[in-house]
Amino acid sequence: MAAVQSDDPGLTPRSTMSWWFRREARIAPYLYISPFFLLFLVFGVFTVAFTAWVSLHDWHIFDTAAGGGTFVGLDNYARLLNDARFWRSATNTFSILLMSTIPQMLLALVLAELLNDRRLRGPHIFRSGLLIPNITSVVAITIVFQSLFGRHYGLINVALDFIGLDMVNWTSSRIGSHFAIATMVNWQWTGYNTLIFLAAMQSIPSDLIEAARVDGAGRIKRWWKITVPLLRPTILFATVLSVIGNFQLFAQPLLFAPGVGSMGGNDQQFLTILLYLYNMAFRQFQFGYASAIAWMLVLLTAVAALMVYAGVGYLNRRENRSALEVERMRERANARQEAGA
Amino acid sequence: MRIKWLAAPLALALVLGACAGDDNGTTDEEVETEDAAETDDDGDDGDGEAADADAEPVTLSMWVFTGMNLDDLVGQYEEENPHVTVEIQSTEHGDHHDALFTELAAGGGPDIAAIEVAFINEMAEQYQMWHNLYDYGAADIEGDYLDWKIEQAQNVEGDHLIGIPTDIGGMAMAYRWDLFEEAGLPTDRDEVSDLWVDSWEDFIEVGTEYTEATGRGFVDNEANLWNAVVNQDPNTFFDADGNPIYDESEHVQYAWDVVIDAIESDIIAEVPAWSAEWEAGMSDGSFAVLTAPAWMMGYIMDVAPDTEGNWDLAEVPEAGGNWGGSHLGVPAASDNPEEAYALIEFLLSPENQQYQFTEYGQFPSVPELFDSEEIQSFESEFFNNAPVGPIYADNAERVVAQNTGPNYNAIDTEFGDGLGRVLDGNESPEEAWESVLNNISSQLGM
Amino acid sequence: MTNVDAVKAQSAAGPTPGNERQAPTFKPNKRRFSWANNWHYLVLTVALFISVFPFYWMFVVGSNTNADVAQVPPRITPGPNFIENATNAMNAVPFLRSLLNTFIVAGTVTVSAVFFGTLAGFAFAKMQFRGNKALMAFVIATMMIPLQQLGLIPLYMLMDRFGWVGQLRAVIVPALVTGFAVFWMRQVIATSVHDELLEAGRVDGCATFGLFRHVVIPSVRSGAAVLGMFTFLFMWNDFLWPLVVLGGNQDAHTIQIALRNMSQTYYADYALVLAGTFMSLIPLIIVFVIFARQMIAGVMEGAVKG
Repeated sequence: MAAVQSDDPGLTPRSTMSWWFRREARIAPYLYISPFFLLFLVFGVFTVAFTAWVSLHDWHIFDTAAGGGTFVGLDNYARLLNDARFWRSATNTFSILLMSTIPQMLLALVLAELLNDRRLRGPHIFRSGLLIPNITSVVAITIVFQSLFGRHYGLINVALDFIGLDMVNWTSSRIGSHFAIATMVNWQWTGYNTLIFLAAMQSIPSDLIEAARVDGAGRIKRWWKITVPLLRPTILFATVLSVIGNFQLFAQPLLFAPGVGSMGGNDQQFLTILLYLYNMAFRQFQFGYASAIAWMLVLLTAVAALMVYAGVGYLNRRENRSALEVERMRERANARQEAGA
Repeated sequence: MRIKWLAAPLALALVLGACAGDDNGTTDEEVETEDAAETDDDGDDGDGEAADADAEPVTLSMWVFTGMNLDDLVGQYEEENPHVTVEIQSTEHGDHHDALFTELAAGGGPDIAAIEVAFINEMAEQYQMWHNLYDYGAADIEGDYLDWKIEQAQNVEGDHLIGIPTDIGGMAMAYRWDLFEEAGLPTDRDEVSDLWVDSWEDFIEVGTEYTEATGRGFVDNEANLWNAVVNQDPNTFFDADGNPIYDESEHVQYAWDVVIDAIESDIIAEVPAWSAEWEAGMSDGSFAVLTAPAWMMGYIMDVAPDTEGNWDLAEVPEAGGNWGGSHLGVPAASDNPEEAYALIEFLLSPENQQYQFTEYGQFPSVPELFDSEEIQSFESEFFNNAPVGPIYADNAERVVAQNTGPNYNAIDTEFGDGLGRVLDGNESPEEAWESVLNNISSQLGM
Repeated sequence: MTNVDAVKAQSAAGPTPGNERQAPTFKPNKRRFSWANNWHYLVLTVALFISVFPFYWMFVVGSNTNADVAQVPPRITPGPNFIENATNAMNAVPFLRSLLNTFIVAGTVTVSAVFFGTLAGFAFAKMQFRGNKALMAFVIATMMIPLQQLGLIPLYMLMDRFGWVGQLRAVIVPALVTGFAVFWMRQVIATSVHDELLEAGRVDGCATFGLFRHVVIPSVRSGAAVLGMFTFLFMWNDFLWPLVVLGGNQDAHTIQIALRNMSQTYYADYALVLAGTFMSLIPLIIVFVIFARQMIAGVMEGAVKG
């Protein structure tokens, strides 16, 4: 978070001001930030704390009116650790995460590289075309893709059949349903990430790329050896966002098989953690247990995000080599500038 | 009363014709008799002021699930009671009940709500969330309905009634006689009944024959077959006292074995119930037999209108069974319980239940109708002129009400999912049985 | 040969592609077209096609009959039945009511979040007060917490206590100002409101709110517009919380909930469902066409700032 910091506040109370102005300037900022903090107190701090409290209870939805559930200590968490269905939902979530994040990032890096070309004609058309899936609602996306992935008349199966492959029962197969859901995520987010990467690429000093070119590196090599490593902070940021987003997958599995499979399929093959939480809370009405799931969801999200950070840190250390290469090229570029001057 | 009954076949003839339009010559009579019946009812109940033309305008919100088809009757009621406006909200079955629980828990809810049989027990346990219909005159009419339907909607003490029964789901087998003919099987409904009425084993044998002859699935899917078999005995998931016995019930084990047998005999079409393929399958011949509680008739007519005349009805193997059927109740949050009750009483009156049957196939929960001439003589053109009245009436006499209990629907779903896993080849029958029992105990804490 | 020599040799060999890049007179159409030079157009066009195809497909299915699409091979060109299907869809659920509800929710939240976000952002960016940095760090930290998931159940209980279940305000009030809005506006104000202007305003006798009105608001219009667009889109597409808290009351459904009900109830009628889905996207597409440039700029600036 490279915050732009103003170190010269223009509003320092000064002795020349009247008493009122000084007093006003001292109180006003608190007043101005208070709406956020008040709202956060009620809908943030309270709800988070209360989730913890509820998770320690056997608390059915109907207990709420009666004043609360029965205190059971950590029983809900113990149950969670042994709940095969929860862990299935966690592995599903993780599998979809891998199938969406990795292709999405690679594809976005390629597209951004292609868009990062000042000679490109009609850049606006490409950029807006790539961004439009991102503004589409997840509900609409799922409805369309669910029809594209239909068993008998879905366009994808028809196409598979046309080229002589077997049709896939996308909803009943575990890997198939993960692929379908990951496809929806990829469709929605690849363009967005492309623009993020494009912005980052545009801020790479052109002398670096130039130096590599001079050094005889082809376009692919320049992309992979220079651009991508330099984009690492941005890729990290996008990946963490993607991880967090994947742990919140809900509408896709809920709507993937309308009429059937609202529990994520008869084998829970596409049950995600958040859908499980929702089912527990607002179908089974077990608020206590669902609250424990909520905490576990946050914990797993944090662990996954930290793993991404740690993974990138590891890469950074291991690939100092690549940084050295960049440094060497920078030197060459400098040398060239000197030579040119 | 008699006059009213004479009018029914007329009304029926109209409805089954192309459209129940504004053909004056015939409708005059019908409207007259119905008006007379309506004022009769009001007089009996002594709450005639609810129907007064100058009564205060009231808007009633009503939540039902898809397929209940109450719009005609509600429209009629609104016409006869100009001060009443009804806003119907029709939602998918599962969503409807989820939303209803959520709203009730929040102390809200509509003026009238439908409760399907799988959820009636949980609602009756939370009876304080519903107006007591005995306070509004339900005692006067409860005798019209099947005792077990009334009992399902009472609290344990029996002094608080949360709902009035709608239909019951007596069972039959709907089959495509045209596809049977293709496969060289008998097509006549009595002969078809004879093929399998003795046992599910015979049914599966017929299915095997059909599948071998045509290469297509015989029965639509494992879940509906399961529903048909498991609902033939009262002691399924709960005993008469409401204790869970799903893991030791002989009948549950039996129903499981029947469906496994069907899966292993390869006669299942593998189109999931309530999916788009399932609805398409009713027309395209992916399957030839559909387990049909009475209300399923309306569903088939709605989804596959182009198959009119190709369907027929046979008896269900081993006879009996009830699948589905609902109640209408008034949530405690309603500010208009009298008006809401008056509407419910109208909608579920014997004559209107009969209308729902002839129009939408929902079989009445009113025993006095079973032997009535109108039911006994009712045939359906859509089902190849099958005498659907007598078929379902006959079945209704033998209906055994399942014991209900908490999480009934969730338990049923777990069994259905387990059978689905066997069908998809994800688990062996033994593994699936184990995982179903484990899931029920771990998911529901039972 | 040293590096410097290499560079010299290269420079001498004529304009490098890098120089071309800077040359304003460069005209690619003077060269002959070749796939070897333009393959990236092919790749980008394929990407564009995949991005847009689902919208086209929605319209294809939504403008044909179910029978046209449920066959092999299916029809892949638009048919004549869109109006009919769309009408059916709009009758199947309270479609217009849901659109109106969504406008109310998204509109209210957008105005409120931008206003309160700008106010708080102003305080954080331009005022000195005790705890400024710590509180800002706290705001950023709140952005990391998936509140909607973690707080789902208590939030529902809270709305139950307020009597707001099934009412639009249950969706509006918790979103009136977000950590993201505060953070975003702080960044915008820090870069685009000049201290000299504030000082001038102060000399003219403006109190802080006067400065906010006369100096801050006029300078942050474009940044606030981007925040407004994102907030509007987010609220328009929000699903989980509205589903939980509004799910029961059809009169209060937002368009996403209405769509969900439509697909859940009429799942077999693809023509109806996809026609309805297409209709639900039209307002978004209009907004997008008008604001695409700002939105793209917003996403890209956000990336650099973030």
